[in-house]
Amino acid sequence: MDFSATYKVLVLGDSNVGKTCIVHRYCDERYYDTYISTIGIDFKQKLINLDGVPVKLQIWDTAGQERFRTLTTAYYRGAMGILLMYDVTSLDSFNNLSYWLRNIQENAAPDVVKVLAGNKCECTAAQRAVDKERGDKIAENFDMPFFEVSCKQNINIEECFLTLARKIREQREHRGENFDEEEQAKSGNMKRSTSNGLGPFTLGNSSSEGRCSC
Amino acid sequence: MENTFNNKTDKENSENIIESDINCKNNGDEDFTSPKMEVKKEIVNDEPSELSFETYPENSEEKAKRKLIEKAINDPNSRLDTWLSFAKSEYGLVNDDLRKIVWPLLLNVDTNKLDNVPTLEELKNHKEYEQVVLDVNRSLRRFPPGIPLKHRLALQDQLTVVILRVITKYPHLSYFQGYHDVAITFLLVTGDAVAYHIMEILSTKHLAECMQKTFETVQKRLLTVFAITYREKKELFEFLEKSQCGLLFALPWYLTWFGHSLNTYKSVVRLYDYFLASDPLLPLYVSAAIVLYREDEIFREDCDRASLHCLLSRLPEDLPFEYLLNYSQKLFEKITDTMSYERESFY
Repeated sequence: MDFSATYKVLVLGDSNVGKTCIVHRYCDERYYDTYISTIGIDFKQKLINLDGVPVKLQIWDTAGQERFRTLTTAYYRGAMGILLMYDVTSLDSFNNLSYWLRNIQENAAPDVVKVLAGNKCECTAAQRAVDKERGDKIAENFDMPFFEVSCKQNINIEECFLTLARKIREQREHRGENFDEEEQAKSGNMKRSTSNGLGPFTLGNSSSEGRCSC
Repeated sequence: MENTFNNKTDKENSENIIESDINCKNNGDEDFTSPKMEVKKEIVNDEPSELSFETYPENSEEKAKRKLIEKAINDPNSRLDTWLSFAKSEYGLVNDDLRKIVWPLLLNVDTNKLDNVPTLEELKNHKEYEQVVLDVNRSLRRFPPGIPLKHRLALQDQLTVVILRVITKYPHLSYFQGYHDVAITFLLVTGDAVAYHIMEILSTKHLAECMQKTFETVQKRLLTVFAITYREKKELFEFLEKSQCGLLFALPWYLTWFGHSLNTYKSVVRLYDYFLASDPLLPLYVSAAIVLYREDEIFREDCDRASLHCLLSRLPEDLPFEYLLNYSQKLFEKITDTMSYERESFY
């Protein structure tokens, strides 16, 4: 099964919602008040214990500005999970979720796992621009688990990534079962379909994923 | 200015190597020996790293060069060539007091005829205002440590103004995240009025491609780094290509002239000396030179996208920039020479 698996995760969302921050918080268990803008794409990884099984989470942290998107879509294709983020103090960042969801639909694998996170939930009532219910609603519509998180106060960070990792695992197990069934049912030289579990993410992903990322 | 930017053909040449020249044999001189990196696994520091503003007493060569530059500043016969040569040769313009005077000269900015600086209030309506402010607020590491808060906040407002002035005056130029890293370098050295004029020139020339509506051209342009690697060290290119690490590791280098990625202030301004006196594509040659220089480290890494992106995107602390700049210039000349030779033979 998932022996020493690597799960590839992409973090998306508007500029300044806290993408780099959540990755640092999760991978390094640290928080900085000010970050530098991400230019292009950054990368971190963390070995986690997923219900007793070691898993390597590869987390790709992207630039929020729209013009970088053409450069990062190569990474959408390789992603098994996406952490989509907004900032609860910025209505724009919430409204732009539909833009990000459309991007995901256009560029990522059709069955990519998504988790939604509304960051900065430690804010005061006066600062808050998006109620939790609105997050719940969009998450339900798009079938994504949803967490309000705070990088600053370390709320729900771990849960967010573990949920994503568990969903990826479920997906892979599900795919694996389908794959076995298909293999058994297969007689002769049936062409392997791309949805049979050997998408571009498993071993030997050399040619299908596209040559270089920029 | 003429001299600095008479490079259209060079630029076209370099562009051509991307498509047509990638299959050329390495016909370059092999005698350019590189000081090899120490064999060690780099300790990756993933924190939003501090920029070191450490200063060192000038050595005797720097002192001699400083005196020469000071003399040239007072000499009415000094010409653009004088400044170009100082900016490129070892130690560059030596210190920020000299840079403040010579940087504008390199770009023909007349510091006696500066436009009035508008207020932030007058520029706030620009559609990129929010994005610019978000990035400027996240540029703290670029300010000297210990700078009084009030002073820093004033400088950050000035930075916002410099950026918005350029994109307001040239509506066809689009702001990109990283532009603020370039602008701040000039702001801190020359002050806001001069920095604006410098950014105006850079934005319409050196950085013009980066400021197009999309990064499509930049994306193609980055391939230069691999094209040079292919010519110089085919196995290295093949290794990188196989890993699918792509070229996004070099994106901030190109977009910010390394200002975003370097760990020491001294190296940032040294590179800026050189870039102000060079072809706009030179940062890509420096990027390639760095990749070639790190060959041993690269080959020791696992051949996969994540490992190599991670290794390459973090610049080692101890890069020998004088060597790398020299090497880049040689690569640039070699490639443009080959191109003109090939063109002549073609006709």
